[in-house]
Amino acid sequence: MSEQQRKFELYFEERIASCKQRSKLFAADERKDESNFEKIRENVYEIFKTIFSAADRDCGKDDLAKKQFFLQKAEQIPMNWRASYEKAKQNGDAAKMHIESIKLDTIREIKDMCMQIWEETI
Amino acid sequence: MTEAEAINLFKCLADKSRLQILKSLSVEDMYVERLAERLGLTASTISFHLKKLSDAGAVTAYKNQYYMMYSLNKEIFQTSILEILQQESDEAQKQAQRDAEYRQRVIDAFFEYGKLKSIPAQLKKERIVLEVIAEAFDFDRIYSEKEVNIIIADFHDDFCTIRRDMIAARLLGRNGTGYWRMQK
Repeated sequence: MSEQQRKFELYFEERIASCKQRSKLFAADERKDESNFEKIRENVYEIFKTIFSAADRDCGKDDLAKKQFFLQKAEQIPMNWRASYEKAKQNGDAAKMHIESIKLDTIREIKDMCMQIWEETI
Repeated sequence: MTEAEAINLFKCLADKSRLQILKSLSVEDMYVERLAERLGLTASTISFHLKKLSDAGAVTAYKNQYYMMYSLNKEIFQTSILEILQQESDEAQKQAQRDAEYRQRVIDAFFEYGKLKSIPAQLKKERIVLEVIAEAFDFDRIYSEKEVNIIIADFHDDFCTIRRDMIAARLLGRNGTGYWRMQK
């Protein structure tokens, strides 16, 4: 396993653990919606962790190909989220907009982290 | 406030962040960013909660120059919980129907050919049985104890117990002149 791969996987694990922890804290503090927002973030991290595992499986030892495969998926998957956000915006549905923006913010952060990790060493 | 609106409002209030927003708005009207700053939440999280509060009728919004200001809908919070509980329920008709069905089941179980088979041990069931017996009495008429005993004896041999229980259940009244059927 390459250094970047290890870093990226560790990043996902830390984020997922952190979301779980915050979700529990919010739930204990009677903030159920915020607790659910953390679960939404956690789901996004889980989805892209799985995608990264698939990239690892499909691209073998080619780190650059892995990164490209991953970033391509990171562009494709959120398209529906963006469309859903726009639709909610048109209908003035602030609740739906917030949920979609959590997903979009999270994938933006994941992409930035991916770029950062690979830029550091390539 | 309808039952559905009350449920929506109670669900909405059962959240600490939303309660904090309402507390802030009870002090003064505020815009999203001000609430976000005050409560340490992101503006979009505040908007999310305000949307829910607005849908539940707990807050209202109005435009003030560039800002959308939010204010507490004081009218809704002046409604007492007792008033909400006393509202005619959407379920009222169904409940009345279920009560009538239960009553008929008890009558069918304890009466046979107009005779009481046994005095129910459960107070709720006994009450139904006593109400049926009370229907044999006319309103606005004074009965002697003997007349009361004869009427009750048509239903069951233990007329003394039933007579006493009917008085305790306030189905019959009694004084020195005799017994009478009480209004519900």
